[in-house]
Amino acid sequence: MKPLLEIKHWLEYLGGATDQRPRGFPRRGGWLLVALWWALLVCLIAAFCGQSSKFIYIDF
Amino acid sequence: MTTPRTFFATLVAALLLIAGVNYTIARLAVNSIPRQVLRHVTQSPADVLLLGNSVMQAGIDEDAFVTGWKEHGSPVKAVNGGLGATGPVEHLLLCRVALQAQPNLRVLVYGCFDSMLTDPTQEDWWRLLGNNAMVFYTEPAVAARHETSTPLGAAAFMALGRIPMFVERGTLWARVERLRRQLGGLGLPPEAVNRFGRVADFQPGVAADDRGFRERFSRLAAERAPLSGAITEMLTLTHARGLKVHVVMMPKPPPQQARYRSPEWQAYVAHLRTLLTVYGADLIDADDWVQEESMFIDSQHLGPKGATEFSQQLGGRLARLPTR
Repeated sequence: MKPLLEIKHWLEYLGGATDQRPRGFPRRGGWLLVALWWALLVCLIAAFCGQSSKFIYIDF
Repeated sequence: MTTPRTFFATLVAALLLIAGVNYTIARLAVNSIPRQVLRHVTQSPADVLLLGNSVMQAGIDEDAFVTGWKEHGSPVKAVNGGLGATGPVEHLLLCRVALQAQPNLRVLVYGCFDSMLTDPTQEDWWRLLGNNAMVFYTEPAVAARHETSTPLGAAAFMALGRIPMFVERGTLWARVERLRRQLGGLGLPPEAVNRFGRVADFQPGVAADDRGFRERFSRLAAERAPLSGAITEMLTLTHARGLKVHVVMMPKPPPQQARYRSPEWQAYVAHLRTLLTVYGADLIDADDWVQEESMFIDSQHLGPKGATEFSQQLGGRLARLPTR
């Protein structure tokens, strides 16, 4: 259970649900990791949100 | 504890990373299909410009068209600017850039089908992607006139058009969709595909019942449906430049041809001819020019052999018509 709790803690911190820094999270420059995380999420959403459209013209 | 300082540092860093992704996408899209077609229509010297959507892209073989023309008239150079999954606004933009770059153009051949000439432009520009997204980078101010109806909409159109992640999202989605289809097809028999993707994707549009088809065109003819704004602008522009315009109703596979012989369709075509006369344009109804179903690769597009035969026939026919 412990690894799962740690992952949960990390995700809560990255998602902004808690201010308590998880174990192993860098003390200095951690903000850059958070920025990278959110930028990655924006890109993933941008890449996958097309599936809700009837997008068939992929070979035109 | 997150301080305002770390929050803003994080925000700025995330925005910079997203800006970097946007830059990369813009670089990757320099050879997208609309840009290739734009280069083709501006850089290949031509007297005859052919425009339309995928039925034109698939249905015209430039060499065969020129050969057919030469058999009945003086030699010409032709450039096919047919671009799949596009509509009149994109065709207007292609026409504008071609007219600016090509001083010798004297004929425009515009391939279309069904009610494409009179369909009003849908004002859901935020849904435009793939090849349609060329409206955001090819004379966007002109496109905004047709795609939006309010100053606020036009401002949003111009602003979002500068964000590659929005404009080129179709490129990303196409990659994801290919992966999804690959995974979804595991363990299943392969689907029929052609150059435009899955053959089945192009069935629903033409599977509409005959009665619905006849009612629709009967109504459009009775209401005297006007030409769409983009078509009107394209015809006005070409007329002013002294080009002869031939509008061609592109060939349909034999099983569909009966509906194009119906009185309702004929009434609609007669109505279109009246509208086009104002611009000195004529309409060639080529619905039944190709009689072999094997010449089509799906329910809408001609295959390479069909395109060669049709293009030669069309070139010959146009060469015999008056050029003014």
